[in-house]
Amino acid sequence: MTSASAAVLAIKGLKTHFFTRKGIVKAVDGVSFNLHAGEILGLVGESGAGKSITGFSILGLIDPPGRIVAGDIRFHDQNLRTLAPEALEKIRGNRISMVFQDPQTCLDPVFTIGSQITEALHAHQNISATQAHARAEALLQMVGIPAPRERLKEYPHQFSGGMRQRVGIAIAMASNPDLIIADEPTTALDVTIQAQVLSLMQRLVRQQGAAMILITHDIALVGQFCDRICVMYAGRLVESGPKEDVIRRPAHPYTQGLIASIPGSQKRRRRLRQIRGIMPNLLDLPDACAFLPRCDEAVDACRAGRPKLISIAPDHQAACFRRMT
Amino acid sequence: MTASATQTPLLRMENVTKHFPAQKGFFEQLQWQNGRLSRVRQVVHAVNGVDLDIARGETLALVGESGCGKSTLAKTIIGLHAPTRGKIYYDEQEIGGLRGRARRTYQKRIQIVFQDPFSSLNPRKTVLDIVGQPMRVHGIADSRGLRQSVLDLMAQVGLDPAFISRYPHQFSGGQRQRIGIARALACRPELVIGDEPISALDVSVQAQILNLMMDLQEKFNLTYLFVSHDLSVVKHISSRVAVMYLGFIVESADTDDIFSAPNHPYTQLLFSAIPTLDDLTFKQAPGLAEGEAPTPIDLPGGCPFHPRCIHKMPRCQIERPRLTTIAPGRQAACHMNEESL
Repeated sequence: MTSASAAVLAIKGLKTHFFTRKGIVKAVDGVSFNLHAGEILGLVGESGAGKSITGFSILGLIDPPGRIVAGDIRFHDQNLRTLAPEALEKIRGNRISMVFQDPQTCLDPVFTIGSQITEALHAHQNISATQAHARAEALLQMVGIPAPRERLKEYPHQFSGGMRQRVGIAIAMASNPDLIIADEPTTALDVTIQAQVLSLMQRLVRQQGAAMILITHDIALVGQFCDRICVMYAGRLVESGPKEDVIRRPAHPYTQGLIASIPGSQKRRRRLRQIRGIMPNLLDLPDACAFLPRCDEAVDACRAGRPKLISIAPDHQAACFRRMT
Repeated sequence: MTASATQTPLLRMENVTKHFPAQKGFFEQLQWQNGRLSRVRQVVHAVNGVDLDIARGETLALVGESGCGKSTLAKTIIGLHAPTRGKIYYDEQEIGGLRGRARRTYQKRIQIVFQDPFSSLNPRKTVLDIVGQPMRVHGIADSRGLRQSVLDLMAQVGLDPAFISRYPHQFSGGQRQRIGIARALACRPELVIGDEPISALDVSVQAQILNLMMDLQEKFNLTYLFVSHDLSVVKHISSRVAVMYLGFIVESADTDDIFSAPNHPYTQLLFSAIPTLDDLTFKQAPGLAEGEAPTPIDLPGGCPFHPRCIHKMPRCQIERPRLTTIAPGRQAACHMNEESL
């Protein structure tokens, strides 16, 4: 494929394990995907599936006892995994930035909004204080905060949750990054504010030709704001493809179950299709398909090891033994 | 649901209002007024004059964004808050004046399932204690029958009866919510209030709990008040929907009607913002980009929604619209409905 060379981000065989006292937690266990400029990738899965750890691994934010044990994280032509910490620091927050889940805690309460945005600018660009201030004002304007000049002098507690999340986005956008990783950016927000914030991010990504990874548990949200969807389960991708294919023709039983269990899409007052059980403990995953205990379609072959992600249609992959025919 | 008009409602709220003092320090209450320093007490207008009926056997969904007062209203109904003004009637009996035994009888008939299955169960008690407690308080079962009743309830909500002596931390989130539901059912209530009962659960587990709640409703003939901000869940489970904004009910209607043709501009805005799988391209509703809900401390004058409304007229800033019937079984509080008549 020629696309691999043009990709902004190419992750191959990423494994991030946590070496805890109870054993090895394979939080991310062999994840590969590519991301191109102007593309929004939705990383979906339930809590503990390894979505956030994938995001943190890209930025090198894994603390002990966690460690990236294998894989390549290629950003343009650099391998972030083998990069020196100083070089990585130049990229992090500059060419790759992150929007965090909780707008209440990602801003420092004792500094003004203005000083927190200009701090991000000064860290990576050689600009004067006046220039930084003007840029900060323009950024607040861009994310739709009224009266930006006055708001720069205010503190985080004077902002509402939605406004704070916009400040977080402004900081992430400050350096015109090539890649934005948004980890559940709207979970703490109301639905109307969620739609405001996401359509804003979508527009900014399209305008600046950046790429974005949207990490969320909400598959309906991903359907509306992303181009591609990767579904994660127990540390691995179980399905990946363009959003139309994944949502209209889901191949993996887990994706099918997720979509079928969304209430709005079904006949009212009927029993919802449910996925039985819960996600297995990542400490002692058996050498079989991790979804096996919850799967209605399981056959004997499913016990023979964990299925690999294989192509089932052009540009559409799934990891299920039942699709390997 | 048409029968609700003729039958007396199970629960009726009349002008229920709940205000809290804004928790602020003494010095923050000081303000300059007319050239002198005076103490101004601020008030959070959590619930403002709610008139609402819940009919026997229906599932009424109370929807709105965080801070709109829906949980406060739910807690006022079960008696965790006393209303500042207004009356609540249960089975035609006013419950504010009930004391002692009469109050306990009423409390037995209304139970609540809380949002967070982690903080709403006592970590030092076993399932037997947690589920058995309401039965002991209300004298429903003696100690010998208690264990058997708890075992029965556990089977009803899909918990393995072998776990009767386990503690909450030994269960997953979905299982804990099942314990919470079993506790709510322990004294055979008529009305069960679900205060966001599934929003703290994982997506794949949410459907399990919703199915359970629908099954139990059928089996025990329950009436549900379902407080939620998740509209796709509301669309599925409820028979009637009431929309709250800043402590006011702005619209109430049958689920089919409100989802096919929302009347109030806020309902329209709220519904347009729900992501659905029916349409994979996001369409921004007019007015979505503007503004957020103002605080319930300084309520806007006139219509509470007018600062965000794209249809606002001069009178919306002065006159507060009343909740009026616009079609059979359908109410909305918007001046536009009168203008178009």
